[in-house]
Amino acid sequence: MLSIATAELKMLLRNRLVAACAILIPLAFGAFLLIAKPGGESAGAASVIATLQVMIMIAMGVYVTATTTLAARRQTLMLKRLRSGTVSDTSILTGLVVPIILVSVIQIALVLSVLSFTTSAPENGLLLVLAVLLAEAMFVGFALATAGVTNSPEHAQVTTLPLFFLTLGAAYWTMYTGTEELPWVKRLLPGGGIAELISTSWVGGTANLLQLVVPSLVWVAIALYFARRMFRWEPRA
Amino acid sequence: MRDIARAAFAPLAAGGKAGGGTVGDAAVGDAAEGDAAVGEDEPVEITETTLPVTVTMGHRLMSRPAVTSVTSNRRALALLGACAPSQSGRMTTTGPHPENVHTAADRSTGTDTVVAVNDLTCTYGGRTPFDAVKNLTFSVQRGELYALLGTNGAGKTTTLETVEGHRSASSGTVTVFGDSPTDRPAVRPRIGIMLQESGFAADLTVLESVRLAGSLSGRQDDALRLVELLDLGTKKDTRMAQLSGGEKRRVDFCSAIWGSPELLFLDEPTTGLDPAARDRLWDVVADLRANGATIILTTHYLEEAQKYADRIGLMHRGTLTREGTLQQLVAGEASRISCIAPSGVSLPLPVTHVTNQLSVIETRDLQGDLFVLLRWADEHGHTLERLSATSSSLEDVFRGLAAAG
Repeated sequence: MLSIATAELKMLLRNRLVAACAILIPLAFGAFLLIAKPGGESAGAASVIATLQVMIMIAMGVYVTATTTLAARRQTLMLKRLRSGTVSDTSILTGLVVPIILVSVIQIALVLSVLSFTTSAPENGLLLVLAVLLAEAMFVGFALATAGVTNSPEHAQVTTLPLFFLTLGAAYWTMYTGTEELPWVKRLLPGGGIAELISTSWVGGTANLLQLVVPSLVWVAIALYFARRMFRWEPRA
Repeated sequence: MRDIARAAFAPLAAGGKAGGGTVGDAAVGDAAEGDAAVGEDEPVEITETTLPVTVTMGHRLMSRPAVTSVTSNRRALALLGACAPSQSGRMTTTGPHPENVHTAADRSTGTDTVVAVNDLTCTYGGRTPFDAVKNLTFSVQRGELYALLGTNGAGKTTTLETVEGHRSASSGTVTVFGDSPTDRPAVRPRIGIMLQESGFAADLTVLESVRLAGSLSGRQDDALRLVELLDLGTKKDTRMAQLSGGEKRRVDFCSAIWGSPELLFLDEPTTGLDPAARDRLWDVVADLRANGATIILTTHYLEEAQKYADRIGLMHRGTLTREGTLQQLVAGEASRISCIAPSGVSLPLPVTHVTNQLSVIETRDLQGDLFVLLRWADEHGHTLERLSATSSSLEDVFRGLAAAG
């Protein structure tokens, strides 16, 4: 697993354009949010920025990148080659996505650190970590599932759009309309519960955490279920 | 063996110039390339183009897969006469290649089964499911080189991938070293797989690619040693994206032989390789075999299967239609003698057909009929232009299989 992850990281860093896009674009978006400060400098505004920033960085940096990478590795038959060895399928997939998750986690840590110093720090750091981990897991699951119906890296630009907009739409809707109206509808949407978790971790709140964690866990389970069902190792079925 | 062959043809060599041919050298190529003119003043070339010829004389067994050039009909007769049925022996075709015969004789080929495929069926799903492989049964013994050949879409790669553990059987059983091939921890440390297509990451170097494959194999080896073994030392730090197709195949081969596996799968290993690289690859395979490795090969280069395989399985439309050693497979096939008949006379043998003035005689007794033809030409002073004698070959069997539909 480690050798696959090392190779993936090397490839990511060697291809400068890809590395720049994967690392700089989410960071640039974060910088824009920090500078523009939609909602002012209150803790509430900071939580909105943190929530949207985390969701965007994971959606782009993990979901789209992992879907593209897996489709590319399958198209070039690298997945098949990796399966010619002794390691398990789970280890192969872990090796392939770990570098992507690692980059994403570093991006999030950087941006949220800047946000903490310039506005306000999160009230509940552990809850924030849990929310980020749930988001990472959900988007990895979605990436594996989407890669199953993505024939090439080029197709990934299209096949990732529905879930990309659905999850980010849920996060935006939750952040800009609050949780007073239709709270369960928002929580039951993919990304809605996780967005509320991130926001709550930043400003604190009275929400029952289980009511946020359980729907988020359910979405992680759904994503991993479809990943298992839909992922393909070879171009030819 | 070469010494015996040289001794057998010594009178010919002593009787005149050898015309450039070298007794004992292997000659493998297309039958069409073996044409030569026969005349009193022209060199005659009796080209054993596809199969080595074994001459049985008394208790001695000699192999002569040579291109032998002599300078007249009489010399050709002398050559054939030395082995003519009426005089001193019997000429039959046999395989594998003499070098391989020597290797096979010396190699301690065990009788234990390494791969056992029993009643295997592989069905592809979809709206119109079809059986890519149907009720296939074969086995491969330790130390063997088993070649799986077939027409396009015959099911070779599906079979190979099932035996490798890359895909599951729809029905039937497959065992490798007694275990299911999908049991990776048990089987993969003992096998090396060279896939039909490369599947390397473009941004990794040659050494990194081989090391990555090696690290997943469960065996130990030195990437640099393997890369240099396949003459890729100067490319070791080159990224895969910058390699030619042939170079990628060699990297593929390096990865497959990492740690000298007990069982090696070679799926069209020499596609895209130049002749020197092919020879190098087969040299390495010979070394692996000398150390007891078992090889399963698929290829569209029939001459390679003919030259190196101990046994051959012929697949067509998902089933194994024929299986056996080379001599078993070609036993029922006719050899061919062809030449332009002298004007106004009939050849002493029945002509099967005439194509572009070339009279073709199909025969089950190549040496005897060639002897008759050359003696007739010599006695009557005829010139047999574009004379060619071709043993039955695997290609004949293969073409027959494809034509059968």
